[in-house]
Amino acid sequence: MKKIKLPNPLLIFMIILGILPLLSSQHFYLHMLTLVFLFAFFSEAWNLISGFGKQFSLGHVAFFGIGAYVTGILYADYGISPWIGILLSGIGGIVLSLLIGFATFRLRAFFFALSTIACAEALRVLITYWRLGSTGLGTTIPAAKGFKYLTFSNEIYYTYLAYVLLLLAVAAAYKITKSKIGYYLLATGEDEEAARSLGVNTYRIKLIVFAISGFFTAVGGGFYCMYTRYIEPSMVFSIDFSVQFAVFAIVGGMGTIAGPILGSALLVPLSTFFRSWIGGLFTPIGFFSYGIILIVIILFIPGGIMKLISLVDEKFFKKLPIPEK
Amino acid sequence: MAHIDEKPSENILELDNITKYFGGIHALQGVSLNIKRGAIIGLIGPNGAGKTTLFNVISGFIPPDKGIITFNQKVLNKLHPHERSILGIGRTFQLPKIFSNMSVIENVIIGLLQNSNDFSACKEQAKELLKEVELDSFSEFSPKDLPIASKKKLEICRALATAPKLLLLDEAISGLTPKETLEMVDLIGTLSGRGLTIFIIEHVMKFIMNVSQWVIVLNHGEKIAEGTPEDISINETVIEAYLGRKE
Repeated sequence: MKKIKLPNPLLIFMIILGILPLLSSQHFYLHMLTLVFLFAFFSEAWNLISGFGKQFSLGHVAFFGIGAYVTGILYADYGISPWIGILLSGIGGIVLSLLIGFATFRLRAFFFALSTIACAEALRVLITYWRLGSTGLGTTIPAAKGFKYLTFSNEIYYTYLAYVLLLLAVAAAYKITKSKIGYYLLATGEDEEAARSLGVNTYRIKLIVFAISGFFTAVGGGFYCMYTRYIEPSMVFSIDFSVQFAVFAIVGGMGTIAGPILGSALLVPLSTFFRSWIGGLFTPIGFFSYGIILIVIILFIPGGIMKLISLVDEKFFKKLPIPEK
Repeated sequence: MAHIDEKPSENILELDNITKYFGGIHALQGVSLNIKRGAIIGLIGPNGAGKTTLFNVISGFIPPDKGIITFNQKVLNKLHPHERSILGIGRTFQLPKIFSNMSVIENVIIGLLQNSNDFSACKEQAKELLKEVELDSFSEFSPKDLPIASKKKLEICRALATAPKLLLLDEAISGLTPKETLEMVDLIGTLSGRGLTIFIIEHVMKFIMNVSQWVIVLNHGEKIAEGTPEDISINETVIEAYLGRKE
């Protein structure tokens, strides 16, 4: 009997996500979807190096911030199209990630995480002093309508652009995990000494993947700047972003492609709910509740939502063959 | 296993005056030794003698403070561990360092990718290698579920995938049952029969004396003896290092 080849579940998942913006034209719904896609994209980029490669970066906001600033300043101060700006942001992200990676990848575990925070903070201070000396801290991005200026009156365009970014990140993650670099990255993440003993240049592998991750994050930073229309150092270099990228991937499932998307899909609406709906005087209660939910998820499902799915899958659907020996 | 009477003529590895300090501790003190091509060499010594440190120095994980390491007429001192692996030095670890989130076959593929970019060819080769160590029926399993003997075999199989010329085995039989030990002896014999040079650290004397053609003894980071297993087993200095001086 001819074996029926089932379509890739990831592909089906991405198609379903692509249909979601068409279900409602309500602004809030589309805005929420844009944020879900965008943060899933950031989390996916973070997950490349920190999930698959287990190099826990808490300084990814440096790439996000540099991306936002390159696109924002080039457009606001020099009138350069944000499309070109976003591309240059990506290049800036690569350069910055190579610089940070070169300096920090010799460090291990917590020291690496701390050093990435230090790099991001240093960059925030640097940009703060630079902007103080020029036009002031905050930069408002002028709104000239049109595709060329990445300015749309209908939210759905932003939603689909964020979706395209997510698609690119997912495709890159998929391609990487199926490649030699991906195998080497997983090995490096699991046990660097063992990987090196097998001929893997772990330092080079980490640098390459960090650069890819930095590229995507900076590109997203550029898009985010055009979406929010305002940037300032304390905002776009806030460590909160780094933490969010990490938390979404952890809750969804680190080291999996779908994990960051699931994490973002759950936590972006949830955080909005707690921040906005339980707002005003009760804002701290909202943050507190959000924190409690995160703790509960991480405590009871340490592998994230994807782990839960794989456990259910193994229990009910897959029967592993029993080895003969 | 039959012992050889003559030492093979050519050295694959030469260590000259290797010295290593860890703070005030003299981990290796001017160790010089030669490893003959195709031989099985045992490295023994009491706990803390510097055996694993010596393996780490050879494989590049610890740089020596002094001394020269020559492998196949090439000085290794400035090379990183991955470069030494590419040159042909494979190794296992005292506690198996298996990639537990990958399947058994993927562990082997990692080693094979060093010399190939063709995944399907690597997969076929990996199956063959797993067959040799009798792990082929576990190929799609998670190595987490394997017993210790299979983990050790998998680590050897993974090292073999890099096509080494010299294989460093760090306590290949510790924790194994007598039956599993015999299987390991057979495996080492088969590998040696193909011309692979094997350098083994082991605490189980019976095993090391049975499997090795030449034995080197370290104590307090110093080479105190080397010779055939028969010579080593009656060497006064070695006996003293293990059992202490007679009063």
